[in-house]
Amino acid sequence: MDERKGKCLLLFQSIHKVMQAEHIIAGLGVQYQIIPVPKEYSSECGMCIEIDCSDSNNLLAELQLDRLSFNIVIKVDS
Amino acid sequence: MANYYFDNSATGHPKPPDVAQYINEYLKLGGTYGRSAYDRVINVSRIVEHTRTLLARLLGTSLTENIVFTYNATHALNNAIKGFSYRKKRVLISPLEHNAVTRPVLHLQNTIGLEFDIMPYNPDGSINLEGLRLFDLKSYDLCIVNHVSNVNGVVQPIAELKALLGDIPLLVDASQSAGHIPIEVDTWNIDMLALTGHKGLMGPTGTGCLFVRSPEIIIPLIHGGTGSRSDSFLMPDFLPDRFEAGTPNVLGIFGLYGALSANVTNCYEHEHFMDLLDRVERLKSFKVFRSLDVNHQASLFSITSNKYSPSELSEQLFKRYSIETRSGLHCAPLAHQTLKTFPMGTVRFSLSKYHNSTDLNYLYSALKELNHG
Repeated sequence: MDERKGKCLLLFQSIHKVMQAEHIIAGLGVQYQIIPVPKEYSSECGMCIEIDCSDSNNLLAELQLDRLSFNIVIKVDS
Repeated sequence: MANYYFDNSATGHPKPPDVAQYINEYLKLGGTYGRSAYDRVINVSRIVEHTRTLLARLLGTSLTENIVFTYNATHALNNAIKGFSYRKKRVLISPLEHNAVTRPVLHLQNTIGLEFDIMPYNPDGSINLEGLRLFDLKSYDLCIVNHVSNVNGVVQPIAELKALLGDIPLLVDASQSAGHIPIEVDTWNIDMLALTGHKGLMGPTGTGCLFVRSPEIIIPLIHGGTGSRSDSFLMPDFLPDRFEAGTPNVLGIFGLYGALSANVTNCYEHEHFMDLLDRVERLKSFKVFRSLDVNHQASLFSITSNKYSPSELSEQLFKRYSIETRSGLHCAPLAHQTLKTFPMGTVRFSLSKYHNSTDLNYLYSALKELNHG
C-alpha cells in the first residue's frame, strides 16, 4: 500500500499513543502532520497522524518495534 | 537564602522556578488535552504525555501508559483500594499507614465486610519480614504499604516484601518517598503505586498518579468522557484512558512537568542529616522517632518533648525561630498508635532538597536552646 501516492493516516486508540508515535516519527525525520480524525474513519481519540504513504514502510516497522498498535488508513488526495 | 520551612511532608516548598514558568505558560497558551487536533491542543497534549514519560522514568518502569494521572495520592489510593476486585475480602496493611489508606479500608470494612490485618513490625514500625513469613499470605487479596512513613521517615523494604508476597498484589503509597529516594517499580515488581506531585516532586497541588501493572485488577473510580471512543457509553478498556475520565488538571500537570524537568538535586548530604538526628537524640528533653536502621531512614523525623506538648513546641519553634513544622497526628493515627505517640502526636521535621547544612545547623541550634528552656 505504501507504493501508492497520497497520504496515509495512522489512527491510534489514545492521545498517549499518538504522542508516542509522534516522538518516533519526528526522530526518524519523516514529515508528518497531526490532524483531526476524519469522522468517516473512527471515533477514537480525536487526533491522528498524516504521513506520505511513500514513507510508510519504514515507519510502520519502527512503530511495530515499539509495540505501538495502530490502524492505517489510506487517504488518496483528490 | 535561609530556609526554615521544615514541613515538606505536608507540601514541598519552595518549588523550582520552572513550576511557575510552565504554569504561566499554560495560562497564556490555554488548550485542553486531546479531544481535538489544533496546535493549542497538540502542544498541551505533548506536555501532558512528556510528563507521563518523566514519571515513568522516575518510577523505573517501561510501562508508561500504565501511569494514570490523578488529583493526588489519596485519589490514586482510593481508586486502587475501592476499585479492587476482592475475593477473600482480606487485606494486609503496614503499621505506619496514613488515613489515605486506613479510611478507605475502614470504609470497605463497613460496606462490604473487608477485613484487614496489620503486618508484624519492629519498634520503629518497620515491617518484620520474618514474622510475616508465619502468616498465611495466600488468605489475602492485597497488601498495602506506605513506602516511607510520614511520621518517622522509616523506609519499608518494598522489594523484599514483594518477593515474600509472590502473586499477591502489592499497593505502595509513595507519597513521602517519590522525589526523595529511588523507586524501582519494574525491578521490585510493584503491582500498584500511588504518589502525589506536590511533596517530594515539588510540583503543584492537585497532581498525582497511580501506576497499575495489570489494569484488570481494578475498576475505575470515576467514569465519564475521555475524548476517546466517544461513540461508546462505556469507559474505554485501554490505558491510560480507562482511568482518566474528565479533563485532567492540565494546569497542574504543566507545573509538574516544570518540577520534574528541573532535576533539582539535594543541597545537603544525607550524612549531615543523619548526624543531625544523632545530635538531637542527645538532647535530653527530646525523644526522636526515626528508623532503627540508618540505611532505612528518609529525610523526615519526629520528636516529642518532656517540656512542651507537640503543639506548644511547634509554636515555640515558629515564634522564636521562624521554623515551620507540623505538630499532632499527621493524619496517621495508626502510625502514632504503633509508635505509642497517640493521641498527642509529635512535632515533625521534613526536609526539602533545597535545605543545606546551614539550615540543618540552624534547626539544631533552635532545638538545643529549647532543650534548655
